[in-house]
Amino acid sequence: MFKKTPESIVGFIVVVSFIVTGIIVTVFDLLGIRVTPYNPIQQNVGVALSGPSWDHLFGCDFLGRDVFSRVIASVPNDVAVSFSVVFVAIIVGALLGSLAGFKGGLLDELLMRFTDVIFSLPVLVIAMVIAVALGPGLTHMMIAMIVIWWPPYARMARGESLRVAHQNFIEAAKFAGQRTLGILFKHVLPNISITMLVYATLDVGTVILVYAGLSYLGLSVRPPLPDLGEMISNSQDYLITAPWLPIIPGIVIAVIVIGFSVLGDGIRDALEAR
Amino acid sequence: MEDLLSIEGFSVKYTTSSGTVTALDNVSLDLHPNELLAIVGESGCGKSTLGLSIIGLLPPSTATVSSGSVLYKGKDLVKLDSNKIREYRGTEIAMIFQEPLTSLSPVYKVGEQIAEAIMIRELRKKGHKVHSDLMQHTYTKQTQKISRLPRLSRKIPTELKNEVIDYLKLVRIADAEQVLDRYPFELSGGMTQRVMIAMALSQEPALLVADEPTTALDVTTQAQVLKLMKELMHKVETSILLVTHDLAVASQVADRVIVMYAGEIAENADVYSLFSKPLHPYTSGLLACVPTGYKDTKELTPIAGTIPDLRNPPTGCKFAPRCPRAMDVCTTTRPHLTSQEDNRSVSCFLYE
Amino acid sequence: MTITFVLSHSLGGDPIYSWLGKAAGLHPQLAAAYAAKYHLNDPVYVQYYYYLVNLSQGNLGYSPSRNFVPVAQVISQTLPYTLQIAFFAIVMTLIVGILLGVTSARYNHTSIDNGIRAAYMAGYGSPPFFVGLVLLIIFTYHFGLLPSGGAFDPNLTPPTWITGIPMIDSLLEGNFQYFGSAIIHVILPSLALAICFFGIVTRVLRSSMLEVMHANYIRTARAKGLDEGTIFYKHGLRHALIPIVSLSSLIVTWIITGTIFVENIFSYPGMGRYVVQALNGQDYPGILGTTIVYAIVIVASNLAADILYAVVDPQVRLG
Repeated sequence: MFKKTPESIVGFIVVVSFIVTGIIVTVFDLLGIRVTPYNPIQQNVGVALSGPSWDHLFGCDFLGRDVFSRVIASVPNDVAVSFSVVFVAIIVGALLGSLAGFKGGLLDELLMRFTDVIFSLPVLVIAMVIAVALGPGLTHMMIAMIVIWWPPYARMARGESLRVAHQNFIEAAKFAGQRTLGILFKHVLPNISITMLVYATLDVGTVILVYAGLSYLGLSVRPPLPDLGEMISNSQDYLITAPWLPIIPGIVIAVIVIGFSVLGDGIRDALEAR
Repeated sequence: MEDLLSIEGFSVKYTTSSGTVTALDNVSLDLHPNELLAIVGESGCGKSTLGLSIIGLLPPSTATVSSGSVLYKGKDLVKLDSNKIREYRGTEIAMIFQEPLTSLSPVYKVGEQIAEAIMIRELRKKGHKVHSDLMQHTYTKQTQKISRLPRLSRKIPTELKNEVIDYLKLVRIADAEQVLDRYPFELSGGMTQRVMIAMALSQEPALLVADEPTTALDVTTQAQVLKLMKELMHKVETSILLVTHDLAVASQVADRVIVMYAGEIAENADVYSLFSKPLHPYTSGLLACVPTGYKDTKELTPIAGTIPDLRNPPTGCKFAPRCPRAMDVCTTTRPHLTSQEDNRSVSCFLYE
Repeated sequence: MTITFVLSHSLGGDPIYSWLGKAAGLHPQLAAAYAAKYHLNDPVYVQYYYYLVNLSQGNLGYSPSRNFVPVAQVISQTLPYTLQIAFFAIVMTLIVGILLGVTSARYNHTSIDNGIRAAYMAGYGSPPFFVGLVLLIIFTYHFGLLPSGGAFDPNLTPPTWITGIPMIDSLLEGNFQYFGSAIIHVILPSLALAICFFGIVTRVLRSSMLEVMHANYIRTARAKGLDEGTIFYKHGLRHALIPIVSLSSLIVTWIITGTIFVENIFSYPGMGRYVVQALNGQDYPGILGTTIVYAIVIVASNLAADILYAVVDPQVRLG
């Protein structure tokens, strides 16, 4: 599946632990059982701003909340956002793009202009705008990101379907009376899925990065609920006195994103070798 | 007269993931001054490898010279290290390639590229070794108007400019003044090939190696370019080693023809003798494949079989499996190149 | 391209509906005067119309988070600083990215190559604000080398308004003290951004160079007798740089959005810091205004990159 270099194995481990943690926490949350060492939102002013210790692996924040627990608790958010955004983006993008490339004409033109506009504007700014319009919150953030995330996939799908659309076997299928959607699914999509898969793996990491930025700006989950980006922005002021507070969530984000990048590289290398 | 190029027992191997390929097996040939020697053979016979190996353009990571010598004006080029052999490239032995459009840099104008070639020649004449910082230094000393930065305008200094125009005219490019300001992609295939020839000749080499220079061109242009090459050869006193898969091309311009098969030389003869009286069965087979014109009413008879796998060559003569005149000895022993009358040689047991 | 420009404007206007509506709801105490003046009681499309009218006149509304100073004024005060960071960040990213890309290609598959790769992976994976924080810690608090906030030493007098961009103005004026201080203050924020983004340049340039070196014209250059160094730089690099130009419009976009973050970390008085203030203070006119300005800046720089591409690649120019 992917090329087994030392770094891609590490990436794989990181990604898997990320996903697993997210699932475990969510499941247990639904069951009402707490999985983290401490309640992530419970304040305990007595230990506020204490450094990492055996008791509190990552230390405590300015309200005495255990940072480690908060980090773990914020993983499901990231998992949910990143995967759903990419997933929906792929589906929407692939369908729209391959349809546009296949049919051509007005649909194609419209799609191109539309994606052009979205491309030329910065992802972050648009996400910001939409998120502000809708108000802060996880679901709103997801919606905002989905809206801007699908164009690259649409472009990819369109390119591929353009390439494939005029090949002979497609003409044959058309003559045999297959409907467009059928053709798309059976012939066009399988061909493009590989490139999209590689891109998607790297993309999940990017989504996490952008999402971290957006939550840093306060557009997603609000305190006391934990979220990595927001944890950083709130503890900025404590940089000198309690450096672990802003640094650790940052490292966690970086590790996760790098994990995805490295894994994505490994997948790409493996597929290219074919 | 002394031979310009004398290759003796030359063997080249490629290491690939599926084994070692013997691309050239004990090849020997001589090239005389002012001679156009054509090397003919089908794809994979090693002719391109031969051409590239003379000035050391084989990919170093995969190709190794396993034996033999390449004597140019008496000096063995095989023994030279990369710095030394660079001295011979261009100004002693020049090379032109098959696809002229991709063989010229797309971001520099045609005139600039020829000027670059001329500058190398001039620098060498003045005894400068062409090393990178010295090149940069002398570039700036000799040619104040040329800048290496891509975005400043690059004017060719006037002394060089006239010479570039002269060479473009030499290869019969009509509006030389305009062409020099063009980029390669703006020119037609035939024209770009002429430019390459001009560029190669501008370095005043004694030998020009031409690797399938006309294969990418249409037939009419092909004829023009070949004719041009033959004329120029005598005009500027450059010998030509022409590598081609096309016998017809060879018959048009060559003085001497070498037929190669599976990395070995099958036959070596002057062009008239080869075509009127081919000795090696492979040569006869090749000639039978070529349509001879409107008077031809017979079917073309291709040679049966395919070229052998060079990772695992057959014992004995490599052509034996396909040879209509194969004998028992052909499958067990390798034939050698033996001299025949009329200054020709052939590698076949029929004549040993 | 013009279409994009126009469209980007209208797209920026889309969320106006909900915003202006919300703005009306959030300032009940000012609603009366505000509403009358700004037509907030009118249907949404009327508001939209008035907004566009105002926009064409350069009136972007008033900013609640800044005591109702006109948004346009705030932006004109803060945009230059953002541009300063963006400029240095872009320059640094490109220079470092290209240098490392070339080195990476040249020492392909050696430990130098791998080391560079590790470096940019780490850089790319870290969010810009995080990198900024790390840099802060290292350079400011441990070594006390570089200042932690602001665009310049408050004790110095800022230059007079010539072009509007403080660094240029100070140079024009000969106010080198200010310029020096400004440089010191701009290094860390720009560096933070450069660290995050140089990796992309390096990676693209590296694969571009490796691909180019196998091209036919490189073989010809070698056959001409050119030495490897000249071949590598004069012929190889020149051609390999072309995709970097089209990449740079992407880079510019990312860097400009990144300024939002680094300005916050470093308390740099640019548009990014204003954006965060506006977000926190629910300053809709401010958010709108800055979004539009960001969009304009990015579209403009993409245009510039397109032009640059034509300069660099003759095939685009003439083909």
